[in-house]
Amino acid sequence: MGFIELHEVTKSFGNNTVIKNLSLSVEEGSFLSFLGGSGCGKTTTLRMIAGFEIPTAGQILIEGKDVSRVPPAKRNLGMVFQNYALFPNMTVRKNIAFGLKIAKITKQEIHKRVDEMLALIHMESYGDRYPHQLSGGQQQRVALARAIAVRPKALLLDEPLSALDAKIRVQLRDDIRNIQQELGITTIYVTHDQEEAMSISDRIAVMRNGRIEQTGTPFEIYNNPATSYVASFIGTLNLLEGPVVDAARGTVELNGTMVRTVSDLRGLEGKKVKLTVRPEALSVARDADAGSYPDVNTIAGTVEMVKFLGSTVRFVMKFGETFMFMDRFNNSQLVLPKKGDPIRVSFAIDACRLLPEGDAIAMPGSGDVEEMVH
Amino acid sequence: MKNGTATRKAMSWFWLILGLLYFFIPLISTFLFSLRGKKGVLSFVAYQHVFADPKFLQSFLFSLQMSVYTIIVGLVLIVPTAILINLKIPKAKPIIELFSLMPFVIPPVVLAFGLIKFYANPPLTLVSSPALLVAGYVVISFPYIYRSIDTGLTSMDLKVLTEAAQSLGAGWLSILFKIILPNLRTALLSATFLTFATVIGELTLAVLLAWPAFGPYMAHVGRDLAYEPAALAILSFMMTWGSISLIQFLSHGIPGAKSEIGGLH
Repeated sequence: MGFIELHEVTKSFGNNTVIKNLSLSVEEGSFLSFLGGSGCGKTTTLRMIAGFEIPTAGQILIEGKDVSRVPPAKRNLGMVFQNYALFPNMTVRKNIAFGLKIAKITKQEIHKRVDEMLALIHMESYGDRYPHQLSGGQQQRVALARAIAVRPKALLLDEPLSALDAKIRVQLRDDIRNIQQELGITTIYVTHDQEEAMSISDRIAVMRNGRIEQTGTPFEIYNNPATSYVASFIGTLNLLEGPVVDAARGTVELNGTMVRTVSDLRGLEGKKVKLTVRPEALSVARDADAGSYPDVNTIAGTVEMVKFLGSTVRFVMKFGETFMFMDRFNNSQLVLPKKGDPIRVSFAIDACRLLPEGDAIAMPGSGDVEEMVH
Repeated sequence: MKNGTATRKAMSWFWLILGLLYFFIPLISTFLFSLRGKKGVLSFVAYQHVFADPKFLQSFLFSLQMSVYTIIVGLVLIVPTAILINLKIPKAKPIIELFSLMPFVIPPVVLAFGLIKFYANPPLTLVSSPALLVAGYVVISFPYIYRSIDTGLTSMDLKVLTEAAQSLGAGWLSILFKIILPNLRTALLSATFLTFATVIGELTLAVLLAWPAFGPYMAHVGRDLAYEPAALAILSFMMTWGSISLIQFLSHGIPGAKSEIGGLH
């Protein structure tokens, strides 16, 4: 049994059902992220766990106890909000001490605990400042300290970094992860930023239309997406479409070139399928290698665009009517091709997978490439 | 480029000075007129007459007392209502806002006759009670109190602060007294002083309900005397400005607070 469990939870606002039969189990001490686009229900789910929304149906269990109708003040869960929600009339110290005073902890203990929290967030000298005298990142650190000062059963974070600029986000997300690991506190984190979710989570629940599409480690979600939506939502994806010519060998024809996959194509003989391959799985093939490796696909096309992304360089290539991305690590010896240069790329057949049935969101390789090419 | 900036600056000064003249010329004229109580010299004799009249202090103290009751009743009724509407039933906000405009639309004379007609007979014979006057004043002050409080609540992000406090284990009383009211101090002060200013000078309700308030006293003095009404006008103006200065002074030092007058920042 998980530390926090949701059993077939449904939430409706009037006629609008925003969460549909959602079930989930969160292990004690783990860090789970709800990841999804706007309106997918991730914040509503978090708010139900916090007690700010009551499920229309289903149960929420914390440590095996049904808390579905327990008010938020009685759940002992720490919450961090997107816009910090620090009390403007209180100093940093008083903000952190607020929950401790409510819990009627002794003055000495409050003082000690506040000092510990200030040290944890590296803001020892900011105790007497008011929230409006702090930067956004500092305010969110204080909000985090305030939430964990009361030693909650779990920590809930609702897009805590989305109001901060890029550099602070990266720094603070690492801090959140470090503090979570140091305290071993069960944490549920809501974000729409896949990079953020992948970098700090033990597990990710990808949500769409009020349902969980897939739950897994960042590695599983990225490398083995269970649905077409997850495949297209997480990371960048190349999409190769063509008819199955040899289902037994997993061969698909792509603009006259045979491409093999390890995915099971049985029963799809002659049918058009979509194969996916990540940009980082592609590499430039040498002519001498052509046909040398049976487990490697090689296709030839032309360079459409080269995009410098800092640590990586993205090649946009055209194979017949199909656009593909290839990512290479940046280094000073890298020779960049020009538009129109012929190019041959290769990728392992086990990097090439059948796109699961279902509707994907805008696929990289179509819309994104169009945008880049034109 | 330099010429353009200089012209814009000159125009700004021109409009500022024009605005100040528009505001201060009548005020200075009234003040100077109030000093002409003694022929040939400028003196404060009109002010001496005003202060020497026992009815001045009597009516002022009565209105002050009524304003205190109005403020207490108004805040006790409207603050929880505004909090409830902002937190739980935001859909009712346009309805309450519409209601809050009613005192501007319905003349006080209609309100006064309505109150007299409704409360003149048993079972609720309140027409001779000052409670009816206070009730009427609460209605008249409703827009000022509600809008001040509502602006204060909107600017403090009430819902998120309440949820943050709840997640830390706070009950409703703690939330109200430790979070909402301290952060609403400026709005409460605005509401208080606007109500005070409204009640102190109110005429119609006090006249029709036959109470010796400051408004009827000023009207009476204005009918019979020449310089004393000007002195009273200046005194009223000073009281209003005194109230505004007090808001500024008391809200000074509230973290993140900005003074709000009539629901405006």
